[in-house]
Amino acid sequence: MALFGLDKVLSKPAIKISQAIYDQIVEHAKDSYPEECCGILIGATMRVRCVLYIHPTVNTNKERSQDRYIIDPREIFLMDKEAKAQGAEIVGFYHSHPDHPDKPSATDREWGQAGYSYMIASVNGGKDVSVKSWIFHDENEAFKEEKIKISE
Amino acid sequence: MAIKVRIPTPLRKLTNGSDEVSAEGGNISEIIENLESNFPGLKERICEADGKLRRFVNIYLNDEDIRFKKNLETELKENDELSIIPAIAGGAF
Repeated sequence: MALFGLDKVLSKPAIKISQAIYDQIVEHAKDSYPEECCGILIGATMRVRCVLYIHPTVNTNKERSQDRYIIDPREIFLMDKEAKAQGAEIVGFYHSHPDHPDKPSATDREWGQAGYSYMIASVNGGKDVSVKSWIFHDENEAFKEEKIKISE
Repeated sequence: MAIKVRIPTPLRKLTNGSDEVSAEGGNISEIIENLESNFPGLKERICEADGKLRRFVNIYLNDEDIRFKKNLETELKENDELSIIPAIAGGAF
């Protein structure tokens, strides 16, 4: 068991997602361009951190939807209930950065909440999309990248 | 009166990992005080120094945002359920 524990410490943080669900995030980001899209990641964190499905949401920041997003808390409330009933949980959130890098901005960090995966999709010119996932566990930490492991 | 409170991921470190806890109180302020006595540090994650709800936090009573009710003064009744919901926002720069 000690070896197992050591393995956990040494392994880099990662999150698993299927190609089909990953593609849904990419498509949502492209469709919303030049505005930011956003949504909720539902999955599990017990043995393997994974996304089982996503729930695309409306960007409720209407004044600055090109460089800001807000997820309606009611959507989070409802998805938390739904996920719990299925034995799953909200593992994080995704949003896009139109013509900006796939890295968390100062605004992302200011509003960031510990323990969630934040997937950020950079959409260049409405076509080229790259996605990275970020997480921090302690209030005072910076975001760290977690590897996205895409499965069939 | 004991009320069930749903705890979101960012606050579970303070509840020893529990995603749901029970708290005593007749209104939401009293619930938060009771939570603080059982799980020290929780109050400052929910309220500002002046006692108001932090902008990073929403609280739902059953299925309604308490900001549309009497906020932290909202009275509670038997079988009510509270959910602490994180505010999720950000943006490109």
